[in-house]
Amino acid sequence: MPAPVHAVLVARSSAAAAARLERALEAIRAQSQPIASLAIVVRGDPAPLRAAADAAKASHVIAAPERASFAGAIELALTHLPEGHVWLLDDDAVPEPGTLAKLASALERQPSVAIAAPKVVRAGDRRRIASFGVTMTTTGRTVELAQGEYDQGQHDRDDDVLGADVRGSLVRADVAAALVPDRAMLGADEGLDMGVRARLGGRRVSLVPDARIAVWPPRQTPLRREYTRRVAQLHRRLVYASPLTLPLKWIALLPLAVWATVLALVGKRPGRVAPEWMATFTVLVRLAAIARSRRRLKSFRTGSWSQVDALRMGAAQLRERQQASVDPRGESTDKLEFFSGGGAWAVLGGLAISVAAFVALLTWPAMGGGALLPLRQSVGDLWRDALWGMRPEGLSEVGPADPFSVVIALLGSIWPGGPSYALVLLWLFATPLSILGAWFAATRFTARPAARTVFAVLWGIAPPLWEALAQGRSAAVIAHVLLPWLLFAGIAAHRSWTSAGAASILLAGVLACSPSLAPVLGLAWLVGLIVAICVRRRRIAHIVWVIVPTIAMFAPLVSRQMSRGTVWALFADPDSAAFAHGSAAAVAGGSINPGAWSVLFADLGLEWSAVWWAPILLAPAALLALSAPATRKTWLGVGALVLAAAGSITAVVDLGARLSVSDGVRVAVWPGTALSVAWLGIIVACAIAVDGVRRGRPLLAAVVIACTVFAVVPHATSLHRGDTPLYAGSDSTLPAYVSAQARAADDMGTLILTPLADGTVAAKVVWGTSETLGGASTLERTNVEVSDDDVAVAELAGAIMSGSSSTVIDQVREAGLTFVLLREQDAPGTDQRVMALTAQASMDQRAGFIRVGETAHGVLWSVEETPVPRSGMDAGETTVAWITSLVQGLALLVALLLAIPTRRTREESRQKSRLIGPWNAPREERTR
Amino acid sequence: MNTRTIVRIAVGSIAGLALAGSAVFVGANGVPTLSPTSWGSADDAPHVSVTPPPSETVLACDGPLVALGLDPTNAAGLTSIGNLDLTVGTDDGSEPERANDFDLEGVGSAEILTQRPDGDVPRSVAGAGSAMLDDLSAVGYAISSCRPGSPEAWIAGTSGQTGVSDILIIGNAADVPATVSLEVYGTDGRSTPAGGEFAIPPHGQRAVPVAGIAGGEQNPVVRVTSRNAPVRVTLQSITTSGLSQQGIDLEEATLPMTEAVIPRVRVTRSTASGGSAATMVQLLGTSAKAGTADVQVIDEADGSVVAETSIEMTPEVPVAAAFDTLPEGSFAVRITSEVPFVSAVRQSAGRDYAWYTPGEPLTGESMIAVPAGNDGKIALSFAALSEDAVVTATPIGGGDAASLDLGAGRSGTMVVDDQALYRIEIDGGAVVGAAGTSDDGRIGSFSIAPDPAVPEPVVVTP
Repeated sequence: MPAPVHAVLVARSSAAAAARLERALEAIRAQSQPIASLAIVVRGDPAPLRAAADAAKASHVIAAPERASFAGAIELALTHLPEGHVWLLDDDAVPEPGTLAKLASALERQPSVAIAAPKVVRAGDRRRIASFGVTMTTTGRTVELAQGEYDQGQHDRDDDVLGADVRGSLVRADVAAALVPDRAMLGADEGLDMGVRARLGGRRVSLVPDARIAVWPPRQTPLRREYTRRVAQLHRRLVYASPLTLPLKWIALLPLAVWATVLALVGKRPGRVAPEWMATFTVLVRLAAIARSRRRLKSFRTGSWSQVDALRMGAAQLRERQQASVDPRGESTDKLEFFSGGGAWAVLGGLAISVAAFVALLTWPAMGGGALLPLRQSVGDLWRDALWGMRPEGLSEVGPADPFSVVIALLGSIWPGGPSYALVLLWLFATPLSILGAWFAATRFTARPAARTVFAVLWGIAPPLWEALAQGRSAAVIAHVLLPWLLFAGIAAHRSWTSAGAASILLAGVLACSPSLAPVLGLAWLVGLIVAICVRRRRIAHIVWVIVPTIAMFAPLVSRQMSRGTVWALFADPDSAAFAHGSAAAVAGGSINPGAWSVLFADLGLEWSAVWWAPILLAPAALLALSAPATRKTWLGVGALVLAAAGSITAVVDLGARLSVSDGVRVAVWPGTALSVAWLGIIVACAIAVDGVRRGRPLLAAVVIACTVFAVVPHATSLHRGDTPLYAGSDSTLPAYVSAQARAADDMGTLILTPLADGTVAAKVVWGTSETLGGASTLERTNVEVSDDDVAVAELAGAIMSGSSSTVIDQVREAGLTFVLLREQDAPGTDQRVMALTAQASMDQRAGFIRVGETAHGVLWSVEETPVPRSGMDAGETTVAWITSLVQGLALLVALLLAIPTRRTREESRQKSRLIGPWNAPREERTR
Repeated sequence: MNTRTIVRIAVGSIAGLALAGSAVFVGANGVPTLSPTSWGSADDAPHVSVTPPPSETVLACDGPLVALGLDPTNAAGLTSIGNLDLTVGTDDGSEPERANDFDLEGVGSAEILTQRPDGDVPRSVAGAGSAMLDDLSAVGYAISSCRPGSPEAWIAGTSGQTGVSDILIIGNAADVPATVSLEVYGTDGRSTPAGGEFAIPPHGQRAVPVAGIAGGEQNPVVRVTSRNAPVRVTLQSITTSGLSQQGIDLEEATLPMTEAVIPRVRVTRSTASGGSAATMVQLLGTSAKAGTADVQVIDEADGSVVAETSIEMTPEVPVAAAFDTLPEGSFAVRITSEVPFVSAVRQSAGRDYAWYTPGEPLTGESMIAVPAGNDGKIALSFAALSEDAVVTATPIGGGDAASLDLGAGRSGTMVVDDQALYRIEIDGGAVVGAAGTSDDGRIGSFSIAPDPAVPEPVVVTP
């Protein structure tokens, strides 16, 4: 006589639950085989469901805690049920009428079967399988065998499986108590776990293809789903482990979480990171649950793990399944055509122009002039300057590094033998690299190779780039090279994590080089975010992420600047220096220094000094840009023009933003990077306009390019004419003696005194071989009040410069300084000469100092005795340094991992057009 | 043309107009200012003013007065023709340490005054000397103050004319040797004369005839630069016309500035009626830029401008201008330019003349020693700069204080007893001061310097 079947129905208590319960009860009543008894477990308050339960004549109505899992509810019910098969159901599952009969007959037919599982199909579309058999890989990962497939009977002959979805399973009477679902799983993999235990006990799970049960998709957030999935997997791993390896596997949980995080990021699934860690910590502390589950497993186990292994999915099968699931969709018709479309030629042309303009640089070991300074002489020092900690300038300054120091460290690492030479390389390759980046950025707007090339060439000959090259502004040059890549990645950030990751790094890089772009780029980001929220309503996280590394990199600086009340100083250039510039109108029009023209004419022997027309050379580009909104890409055109206007306004504001102190005066922010942004807007609009016109395309492009080329003539020829502050420098701004000594010993301090034209003295302390680009600190240069450190330096400087006979040797030694350098500015005035000579005379007479000599960099004295070592960081500062470096490093690492393309992302991106906007694809097809 | 096209063109035009409008707006409103702390304001670079502790004050006095070629056996040799009568003192009435070891080799020596501070309190010290000569070698009046050395000094008023014997006297009052280099500015710009670099031993003086370094220049300007130790530079000038002596003068060195004020130049009745170029200005633009110097001669009595001229200065080329027709009276000479320059004004009176050099602006307190003047009196003249000022001169040895109310841009003179020390107090704005006499046959002046004992603060930009 067949054993009686007791059904356990797990229901949630909620307003809508009554209807669901009714639906499930109806399905149970409709079964061809009657059930012996029905236990309803209500998670939460049973009152709303009481009526339905009474109507169904449930033998038991059990109230379970609201947070109880399905497994917990079943466990609770089993204690109330008499002997018999147990049918596990929940209120989202609706069995078809013959299901129970077929499951029961499967148990009757095959005594070895412990669990008979139905085919779980989707309630919305009953031809689709929701689950039909589950197994796991050799490492324990759950694999659904038929999930999501159309039911064509293709799995109906698979009878013997490792596990199955727990919903609708019928558990044999004699094992029901031993195979109760494990509540430690939190709701995932319970069926698989039951199957594994049955298998170890010498029994098996049988699939019954004719028994069908329809389920609604679970109402879980992706985060919760991922968390329970991971908890179940980690819990099973510890439960199935042999007692010997258990401690190891428990300890390995944390490293494993790190590894899983890296894999999740590389796999562009950053949403998995948080559940991964939550799950790891959950499993890590649930020692009691592990012990209970292991006990339960051990008590039923009779056989060995080889019984289970036979049904695991091997690596070969797994690969087979993955390949079968690849969807061979057609590739985008938008070809890159970098070589055939002329992109490569444009880059090559840019290199040729660059070499022609800067051929002299090839012989320079390093560059100086303008805002240029050498880089540190070793890669290690470069990176040390980039971290929060002891600043290489200032007496005992401790604080955050400018994010630009990281950019410089990266740049210097290109040429580890002599990092300063990397600047020479940057100057030589800036134009071709800009053209390369711009060519790729152009692929976002136009599919026409000619328009892409026009865009790339216009970016390569951009006046702001050439002004920056001629005036020695490395940060502006780097920002100009990075901007098109930022555009390329940033405008597609919503499409993929690869783009978002790359854009986030590039944004941090551009803002590190030019913090004054923050308002413009922040506005662009905000517009992107609003569009994402209002129009697309998805992938908002992609766009939000774009600013995360920037925030991480700037946060220490922001907190310092805010706390001392110099908020605007955040926009200061990292490489500030005075520069020649024209009127605000000329700068707004795109020409920073129209005066370069009059010098050019003077060099040619012409006596033209009127240069008001210089910005007019860029008018053809501006006019062409203005016609962009009249094309089909109206909004893109308008966006580009707004960007141009914003850049132009920023440039004018930059001129008045006197933030950093250089040689005793506050100097303006370099407006070139803002003009680069404006130029980017203009030429995007130009590319759209060129793309959109029907006739006269080559002529328009030729006029715009010719005018722009003409506009950069003074800058491109400036090095040959000598009209540039650039000069062949060395890898140090200090005398060679200091440089050599500092290379041999760590942390050698030099006090540099420079009498200034206004009768004051600039005093600064530099540690190491040279003042460096990466060692400069905007925090220090934008100070409005003097710090204790400044007062200490000033007192030393005052004592030395005043020529008084007071002894300063002790103070100098106590400050840890080894050298005193008296510098002279170019063309010093009388005051400066008098101060310098007075200081020299008094220093020469002071005991304790040895005059090293007069060098090209100034008059140098060294301290006779070894000075006191420089004071280091205290414990608190060391902690902050570690935490800051860790957080910043993590933010960049995460962005980098997201940005690394994988095979999957490459395939995905290949299927989409590079062009941005909904209007592209069909139209490009037509015009081709 | 369908609706979409019209909308596009309209949007495009509006965007274009907005762009152009924003550019015009920015252009019209000029550059907004932004400082680290606020929008719309400007912050200066942070400064720290450091006042060093007072140290020993060393003043070097001029002397002896010399003449060239008096010895028939040695035409290039120097001979002493007189010494200055010194008036010396400190602010508490005591005498500073005096050492008569400031040697001009083979000729004679002058005094060096040394005064240590009283702990951390500076002790003011002043000294000045004058001499009235009337013999075959020279006639006229010479007056000068004892001054600290300077690493750089400019002699702006020299003459290469026949009959003028200008001798540069450079003294090193320090305890270490000084390395001095000379540069001469003439019609061809700057040049370094042969033998223009030499060492001066500690407590030594060196006399360099200007004719020997300036060649045939009519009115050269000389720059003296000293390394290792500061030097005191004076130009001693003797003029002979035919066989008759025309005067003697001691001209102190000056430094480049953009606003030079000579508080008082007196044109005596005989000079005014003489009609020759009795008042002359000599200028040199010291920077690499050309500029215009505006010279104003302002009457001390009523503040009216009696003469005015603009002088184009070619960089590093001296230029001179004469005022032929100044009436009798006392005048302040004010010279301003947008580029730094050095200047001196020559005034003759009877058979004597004087080179006036602009003084440094004075504020607060300073001390002055006045040597023998004319008839037991000496004139202290002051010219206020851009603000009103009240100058009070109090005799240190006791006696009545004299005071002078000066409006902005005005000048005034008080006549005080000579051979005494005075404390000069200035209330209000800065003034420029000079002491001397200006009578026919007895004209000479030196400028009143800020107290050298009080250390000057050094402004440091950290």
